Amino acid sequence: MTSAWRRFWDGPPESPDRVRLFRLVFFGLVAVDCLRALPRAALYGAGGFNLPQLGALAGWLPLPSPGLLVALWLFGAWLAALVALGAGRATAALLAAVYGLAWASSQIDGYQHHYLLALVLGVLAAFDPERPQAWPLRLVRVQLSIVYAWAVVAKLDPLWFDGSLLGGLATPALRRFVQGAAWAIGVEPETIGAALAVGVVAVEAFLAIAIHVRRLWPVAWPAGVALHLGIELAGFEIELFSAYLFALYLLVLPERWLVRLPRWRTDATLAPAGRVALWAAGAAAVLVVPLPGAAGAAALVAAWALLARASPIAHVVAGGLIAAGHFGSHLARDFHATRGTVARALGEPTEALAAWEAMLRLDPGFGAGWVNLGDLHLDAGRAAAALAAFERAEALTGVPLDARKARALAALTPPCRGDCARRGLARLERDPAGAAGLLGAGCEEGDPAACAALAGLHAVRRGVARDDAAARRLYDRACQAGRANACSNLGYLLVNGRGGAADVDGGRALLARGCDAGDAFGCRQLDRR
Amino acid sequence: MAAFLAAQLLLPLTWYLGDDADYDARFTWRMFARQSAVRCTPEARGAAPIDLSTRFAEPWLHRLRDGWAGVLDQVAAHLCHEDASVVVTLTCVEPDGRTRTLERTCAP
Repeated sequence: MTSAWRRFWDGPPESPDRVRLFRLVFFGLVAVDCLRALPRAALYGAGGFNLPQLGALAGWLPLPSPGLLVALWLFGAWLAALVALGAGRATAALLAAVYGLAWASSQIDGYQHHYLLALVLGVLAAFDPERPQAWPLRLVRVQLSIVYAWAVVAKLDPLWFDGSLLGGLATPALRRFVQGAAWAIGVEPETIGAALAVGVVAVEAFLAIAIHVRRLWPVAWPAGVALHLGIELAGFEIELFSAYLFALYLLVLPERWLVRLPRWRTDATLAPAGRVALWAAGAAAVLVVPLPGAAGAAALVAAWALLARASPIAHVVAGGLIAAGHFGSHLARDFHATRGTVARALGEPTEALAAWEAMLRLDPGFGAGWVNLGDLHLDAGRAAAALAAFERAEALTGVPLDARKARALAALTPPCRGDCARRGLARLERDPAGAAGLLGAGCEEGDPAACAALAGLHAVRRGVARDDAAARRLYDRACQAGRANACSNLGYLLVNGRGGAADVDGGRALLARGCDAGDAFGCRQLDRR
Repeated sequence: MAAFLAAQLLLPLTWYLGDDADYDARFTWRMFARQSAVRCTPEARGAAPIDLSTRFAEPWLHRLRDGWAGVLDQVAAHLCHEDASVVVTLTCVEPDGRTRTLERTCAP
């Protein structure tokens, strides 16, 4: 028994080709994942609330902050890139600790694959690339088996086998696939759903065993990749889970299918001044990310580069990856966007304003961001700033924001008191959206011309949303006050059934009233009918 | 190594043996299983009405909607610091239509 146990773990060492390919892909993915996590850092500690992964530690650990998580993930991305390029056990162990700390700090991270990743990184910290022993990678395979085995146990449920559970969780893409397959085969969609559910359990049970039997790898590898490709194509929101599984399946790839990577060297001989210059450049690359905590990450990077005497070339490549991640995406902008959203929801408008202003400094062309800023200004009574933000968003996106602009203008109207109608009518031609708020206020002050003009804007969707019902109400008010053209226009809406039920007789009466009072439109409409 | 494997085999078991109204299955590898389809509605009341969405960031409300009892405990404890009359409830509907309600009050 003991010797079988030993034989299992101490088997032949892994092939160097597999090790190099797996390290490059798996740890490269970890580096990218750490960078992708940066916007999520804004959520940590929000509202003074947190719960660590181990709930028993609640109250004992300090509240995590966005800056701490940014520092951990940036440092983690740099360490992972270094390991991908060949750094040794100490760097891998530090990465496992840093990633584990970030994951364990809060249940905000509810993804099971991040737990799996924390475990796998812990196991791989024991792996020495200079002497690639068998047991750590074998343990990773066993871990994968455990995941599949428990996944099978979880699905031993009548609701799973009849397909109803899968049907309840199905994404639109999966539903389309099931319906398409059912139509092609000529069976009910429920039959396809149940077959898929049974198939998933069968494949998972097979994989739990087959990934330990080398002879079965030519079947296990495509089966595993197909399973996770299917899950990915189904559109479940599982972040990089499938990508991690594809990387782990490199450990099951049959030897003869392995891609042999060219050997690279990151330990080029450099003069001490050259090494220090490259270390400084790598650390400086982390500083380009304009987020709280980036300076801390840069300090950690510099300290570890010196302590571990990191390969200067790998160090610069890792720094370059972080800089490329920042310049090639909107990580920092999205961090501030998230921070602003959370602050606004938690009733912290000052923090939300600071976050969204920072967001728009980073990306002035972010239309949705200007809408959010406008809403925030409007909530705080800063109507002019809100209007300016909405107009900027409209110009950037081409999407009309009539309702929001009307609210902002309505908030601007108090200064026009007693003069709203005149100012609205003066603005009508050059800025109908701007005129709408003033006309609304003028109508409320009792000016029938303002009511009629605003009704016209609603009827033809000019500067405001089309709203025939509102147009009817406003024309009626103006008509009652003696505006001849308002009577004609209201008559036209009634005859044509716009903004409510058609009323031909009532409408013709109004057209006649407008015509009698000298409105040519009313007369023309009557002649035509 | 044996301890690592034992933990990996036993940790999910604790979920199966534990409180069957806790849908938090973080360490159990229960992907796409029954508890993934559970939908819960959290509510809180105290001396005044409490709008949870203005007190806790969205991910925590998401955990509550998924039925995580540990988060419910912590949310109640957090609110109890300000108001000892707080009651937080989580009403969960399982995929077969069964309903369960969890309730937390402030410790005396």
